[in-house]
Amino acid sequence: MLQGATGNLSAISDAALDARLQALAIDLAVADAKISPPSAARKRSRKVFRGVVLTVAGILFAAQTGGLSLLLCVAGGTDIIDVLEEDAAAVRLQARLRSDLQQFSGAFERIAIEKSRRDW
Amino acid sequence: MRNREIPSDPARKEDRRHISVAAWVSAVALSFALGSFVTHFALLGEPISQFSFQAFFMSPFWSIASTALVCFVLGIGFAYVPFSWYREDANRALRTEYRDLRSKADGLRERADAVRPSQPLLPTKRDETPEPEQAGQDEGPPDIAAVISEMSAAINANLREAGAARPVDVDLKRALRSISAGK
Repeated sequence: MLQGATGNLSAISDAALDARLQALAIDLAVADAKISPPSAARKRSRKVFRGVVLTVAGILFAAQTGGLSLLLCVAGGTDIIDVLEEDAAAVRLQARLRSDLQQFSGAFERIAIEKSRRDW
Repeated sequence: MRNREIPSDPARKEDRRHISVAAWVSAVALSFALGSFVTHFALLGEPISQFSFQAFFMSPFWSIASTALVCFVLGIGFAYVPFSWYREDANRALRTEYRDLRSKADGLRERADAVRPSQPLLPTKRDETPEPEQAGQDEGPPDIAAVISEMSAAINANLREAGAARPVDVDLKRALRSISAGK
């Protein structure tokens, strides 16, 4: 996955080591951009709130409307399940980014050690 | 990282998610409806022809079931709040760690650039392998040692061999041309 994580760093040139460091910085920037922003979490929270309100309203008004308000439950349930699916995907992405961070960190340590060994 | 991920079509992914959501909603609605009807008829023992929605929603079964459903849905909503906080906090920590590591990588790169400011980000000379074409090109920068060795070899061959068809003549001329081009 990462060039800096594999291979013998002592066998490569200074320029190649610099290039790997640059590639590592790019990989970190790309992975950083993948982390979901707080606005996405707020959007999901609003959606859950809307789903809960719709579902509860649909259930409570079912007796008065003869069951028609149960359609609100369908809309609310769709919102809730949609958010739960999004959250499951976000959790998977977060776990993957966490694992990637460890690999990036290992690669950076190796590059830093190699650079200090070369007295930079 | 970039090589491992194969970007999938976002529209297809979204469609899949919608189908999954629809399947979940249908399954929940069907299971609830089936459970209600079975329980209702088991409790009341009425034939299905006499079923009325008005009576069903006024029955004690619906009042109990609706209370349970409302509690269940409100429970989901309340449980989501700390879950969302936790997720947001974990994302914030992950983002901070990524930015720390990135700043460290940038710092190391800037330090390396400061140590060697004039060296471009290209392969160093010790890694470059001489291309075979460059040895025979006349327009390249003249390598004096190579020209001299070529000239001496040509002279030696010229001295050893007699006759008009001597291929070393060509080398000799090229060597002389290289020297004049180098001037």
